[in-house]
This record gives sequence, structure tokens and C-alpha cells, in this order.
Amino acid sequence: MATEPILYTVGVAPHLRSRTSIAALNWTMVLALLPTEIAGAVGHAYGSASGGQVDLGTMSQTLTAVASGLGVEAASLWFLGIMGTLTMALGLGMLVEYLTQVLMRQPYRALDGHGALMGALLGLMMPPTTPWWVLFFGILLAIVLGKQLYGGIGGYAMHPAVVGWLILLLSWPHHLYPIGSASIAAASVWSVGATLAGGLFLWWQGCIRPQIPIAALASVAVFSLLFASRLNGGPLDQILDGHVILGAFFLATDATSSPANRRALWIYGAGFGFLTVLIRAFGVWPDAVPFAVLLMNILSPLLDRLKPRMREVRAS
Amino acid sequence: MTSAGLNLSVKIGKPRLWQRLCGVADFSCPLSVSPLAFRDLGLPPMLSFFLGRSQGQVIGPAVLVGDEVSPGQALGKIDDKSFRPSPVAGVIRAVRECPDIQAGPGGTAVLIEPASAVTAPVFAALDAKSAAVEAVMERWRVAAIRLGNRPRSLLVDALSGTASLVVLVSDQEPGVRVAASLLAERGDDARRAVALLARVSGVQKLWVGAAATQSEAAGRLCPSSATGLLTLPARYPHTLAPMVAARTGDAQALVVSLETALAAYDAVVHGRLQEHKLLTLVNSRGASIENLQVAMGTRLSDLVAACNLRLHSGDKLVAGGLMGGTSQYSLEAAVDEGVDALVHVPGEEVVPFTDEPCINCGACIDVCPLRLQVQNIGRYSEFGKFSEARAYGLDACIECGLCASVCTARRPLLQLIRMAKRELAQQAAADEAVREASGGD
Repeated sequence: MATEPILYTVGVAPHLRSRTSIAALNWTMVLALLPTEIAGAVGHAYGSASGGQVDLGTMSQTLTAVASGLGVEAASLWFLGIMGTLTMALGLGMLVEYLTQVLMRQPYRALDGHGALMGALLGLMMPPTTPWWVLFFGILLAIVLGKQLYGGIGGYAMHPAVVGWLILLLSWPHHLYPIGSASIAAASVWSVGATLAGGLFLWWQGCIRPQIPIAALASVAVFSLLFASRLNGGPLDQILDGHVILGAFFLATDATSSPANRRALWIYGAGFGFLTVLIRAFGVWPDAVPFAVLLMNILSPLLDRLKPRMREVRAS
Repeated sequence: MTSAGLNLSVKIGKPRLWQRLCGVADFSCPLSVSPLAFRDLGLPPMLSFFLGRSQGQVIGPAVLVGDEVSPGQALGKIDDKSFRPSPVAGVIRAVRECPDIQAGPGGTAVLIEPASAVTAPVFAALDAKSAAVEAVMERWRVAAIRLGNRPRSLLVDALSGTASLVVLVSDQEPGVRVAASLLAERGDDARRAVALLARVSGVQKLWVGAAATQSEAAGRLCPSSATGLLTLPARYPHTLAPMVAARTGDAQALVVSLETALAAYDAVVHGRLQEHKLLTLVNSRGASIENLQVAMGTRLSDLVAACNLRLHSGDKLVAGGLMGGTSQYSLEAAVDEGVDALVHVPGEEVVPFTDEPCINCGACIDVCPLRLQVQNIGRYSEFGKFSEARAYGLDACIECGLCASVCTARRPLLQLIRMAKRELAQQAAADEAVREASGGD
């Protein structure tokens, strides 16, 4: 006999459990955003997206002067600044989530990466010229209003980052759509390609289910042919423009605000594509993706009523 | 040979690339059907026979400490009816409280120090081809041939009122290779056992249920037209009793393991009680380590010592399979008819369930063999809305546990489902009692 009694772990069946978790899911998504972040920062700093060309007044002139005085290329400064902003957004997301969980006496889940993901997504949807306090407000609203007031992860009806982005758009449209500057994620065709690579990585890792992106991209292509007369460019331009790829792979696929049944996912994805094209063709806003995501989010409980037919093996 | 079958360990949580590309999270565990030799562990110094409960009442012992028992002597009694014959000769050393090896409240166990292995038949041998049906049934009742279900019911009780019977020659849980190995070792006896069951059981149709990879060996078991071969996919939930029964077209069909069928055959033809239990030692990822032949009533402490398992605090020891087995808190519990596997999960490999909220990711829906809305059943059950859970397929659930295996939020979905079912059953019983009381006045 052993001197100390052995205490066994007891638990309910099944005892074979996958190692997947909410944290693994969210941090993989944060990781999958990294190519977009780098490509976006490079696009803005060194490319023609805007970056160095945007005049931010005395502040940027002074900074550029200081940088050149120190022997640092201004573009590198822009690159580091954008990466720093995105890191700050990620950290702010976690911080705000943690603080609200303290105030709401909820279990602390900030380390599960969902707040970080929301912060990173919101940062990516901003132009690099957005003041830091606008970004801060966006993250605060996204986490508090968009997520925690609904009860946190698993409870919200609409994608928190998109909610935050829309409130910012209504409050400070000139900061979200400054003339001559695209958002970080939409800096160039390279950053959109990087987003696509990140999305395919997520699919490969099993973090997202493929129905939404496939249906979304197909539907954008089809409806942009239908509404071709009111749009600039063909289907490929529509897919590569703005946040369509980001929306199809990262925003619309958010588990909590999207349906769970497979048939519902196809319709959800197709609806996202249709609304994107519709708003682009007939709406006033340049980027329709967040609106499309939000509208489909609201429809998702309804779509989830499309249940698969149960297999009955029990005599009732 | 019987089969050059699958010998894959379970890769749960790691679906193949094509499965990911198609969006099918098919985590169904492959079942091994290649035979594995049994290692006889011999007779341990002490055997424990759990008497359990009958309708909530602890079953009392029919023997006293110090008594000598002979094979076939009843160890317990329910309402003066004898219960649980001892398969060995020996001396009663203790009668005490003992945990149930299945999840359930404890009860009385009788501890016997066995004298020697039983060699002589306990009952007179009957002829399998000509013995009267009543004589065979009586033999099965006296020999207490029990099923491995939960709670272990007598074969004769289960047979009454059953129209279809399935003898399952494939195993039910990942890594378990008892039935597949038994089919390879005792193929001829298996054929005679099936013939005996077909003649005696009185069912309209008898099936032999076998994994697709075993169909050749299983086909030899059913020569007559009254016996059908039921081919099952060699993947985890498809060989569970409700899934097998559904394939026969009769959802009430009784599913009997090959080991039980052979025990019933031995009781008739060789006049033996079921002295042994066959089980597989399985690792935490669902791969078989070895097949064991242990004496019925062997305590887990003796079994663990014989298998050289090094147990530490925090480890999980599971009796029964990985998917449906029961984790043990004491090594006092003893092997009985339902224990097909012993699994040692090292502490660092235990993935505990959490109380995270459902994030609606749909992994459970993708994996559910019945396409139930598991996410909603879990949510409603968690918040006590059990009748709402019914609308999403609660009653259809066969409790295979795949949903809880893959849940992203690590929710104890199977436990939530069982809780909802239990609460609804209790509620229905209470309503029934009220209705009867008011009707009686």
C-alpha cells in the first residue's frame, strides 16, 4: 500500500475529449489575423495605399522631421506605428473585457482571447490615421455594449467589433473614412490576399466552417454580375475590394452570432454576400460589409430554425 | 483469418484534411476488429460480488461471514428469491458497503476468498440441439446469465416480450477488442450459440450484428434463413445498442454481446457459470493495449496490480469504455458483466469539463449521429427548462457522448442530457402518482 492515499479524478462520461477550447479557437483567429496586420501595415507605410502621403498636420510633419533627424525612414515609423496601434487594440480589448468582468462579477474570461480578437478586428477595420482615442472608444463600446451587456461570449446577438465600428462610423465618420485612406485591412490587394491566406488557415485548422465563406464569396460574385450596371468593376473587383474577404472569413463566421446548422450557414453566407452587393450598389456608404454582417447576425436565430431532419432510432 | 481490419487509434479532435475541406467534422472513432490474444490473469486472492440495489432497496446478503460457499450458491436475496450465484467455491471473508462499478449508489458486496478455480461443471450438461426450451430458460435463470447493460438485467427477463434479437460480434467502444477476438477464438462455439438462441429465444428474427470488416467471419454464424446478417459501419456510435436495434427495423430489438451469448451457451452445454470476464486494457487515446481474461469479481486493485498500471493522484481510472464508462473513485469496486474495458487516463491527459457558455459553434451538431440540436438541448437543460429541451430531440438521444467529446466550450453535454431525461422522468412519475391518487378518491 502506498503511504498516501491516491485520489483519483472522477468525471462524467465521455472520457475521451478533444483538446479544443474557446481560448484555442480565439487565439488561433488572432494568429490568423497576423498576415493581414503585417501586409496592411506594409501597404500603408511603403505602398501607395496612403500612409506617408497623408497629411496629419503639424504632428506628422514634426514626427517625420524627428524621424529623419534620427536617421529613421518615415515609412518604418509608420509601419511600427500601425503595428503598435494594432497591438494596443488587442491589449485594450482584453483590458476592457477584464474590467467589465470585474464590475459585472462575472468569471474572468479575458484570457480566452475573445476580447483580444474583437480589439484586433476593430483595429484592422480602421484607417491608420484614426486617432487613438477613437479606437479606444470603439473597443470600449464593442466590448461593453456589444458583448458584455448581453452576458459575454455566447450571449451577444451581433458581432461586437462590428457594433463598435458602426457606432464609430455614426459618431466620427470623417475619422473612419478620411479622404484618400483605406482601412488597414484593405490597404492593398496584398493585404486582402493575406486575409484570404489567414482565412484558409482557419478553415484548415477547423476554427471556422467553410459554408459561410464559400456561400458569401459565390453570392458576392453572382450578385455583382446582376447589379453590374450600378457597380464599379466586375465580380473579382468586388470580392477583393474593401472588407469582403475579412467579412466572409473572420466577421461573419463568428460562432456566437452565426447559425449553427449547416443549411442555415449556406443561406447566412449567401445573404451576407447579397446584402453586401445590394448596399454597395444602392447605399450611400462606401463599405457595405459591416452592415451586411450585422443584418445577417440579426437574422441568424431565424435561420437556425432550418434544422436538419432528425434520425429516429428510438421507438417513441 | 477473420479480418485484417482496422487498427487505428482514435484521433479525436484531429479530423483528416479532406474532412475539414468538406466541412464534415466526422470525429466518429474507428473501431478495431483485429483479434488480440487474451492473457489469463488467474484467480486473485479475493473476489468481490456486488449485490447492488433492486428498486432503490439495497439487496441483502444471503450468506454470513465465515460461511463456505459452493459454486451456484446464491449470495444475495430479494424478497426471499435467490440472487447472484457464486461462480466459485470459497469462504466468505467480508460482507460490506462497496461502490458500484457503474455510476450508481453503492450497495452491499460479498467478498469471497476463492478456494480454487472451478473445473467441474456446476450443472448437468444439456444438449444444445434437443434440450427443451423451458429447461434452457430455467438454466439461464439459475445460472443468472446477465447482460452487460445498465442495470445488468437477466437474459431471460430481457428475452421475454422481445420480437427481435441481435447477437453483436463487434465491439461497442473505441479500442475494445473483446467480441472481435472472441469471434476469432471461438468461432464454432459462436455459431452453435447463435443456433441455440435462434431455437430457444422465441424471437421472430435473430440477427448477427457485425462490423463491415468482419462480415466474412460473421456470415458463418448465420447459416439459416431465419438468421440475418446485419452489417454495421466500423465506427464508434454505430455499434451501440440503440443504433444496432434501429438497423433491424425494430427499435425494441434486444442487443446481446457475443460474450453473453457464449456464456449462455456454456451454461447449457457445459453446465458452467460465467466465471470469467474478458476485457481490453485501453489507453487514454482509445488504442488497445492488451486483452485480459479475469475472474468475475476481480477487484480493481488486483486488476491494476496485474496490469502494472502506475496510478498517481489526479489520474482517472475508467471501468467500461472511454465513451460510456464510469470513472472510479475507489479500487474496491469489482469487475462484473458490463466491464468490457479498463482505461487509465494519466492526470495530465484529463481534459475537464467546464461551465463555459455555449458559443453556438455547431461542432456537436456536425458530430451527432442523429442530427439533434445538441447545443439547444444543453442550454435548456443547463437552465432547468427540460420540457423545452424535448423540442430539440432530447428523447431521441442515444447518449453516445460524441457531442461532449468535441464541444469547443468543453461543456458536459452528455451529463446535461442525462439530467434533463432524468428530471423529466421523475416529473412524469410524480404527475402519474398525483393522477392515480386523485382518480382513486
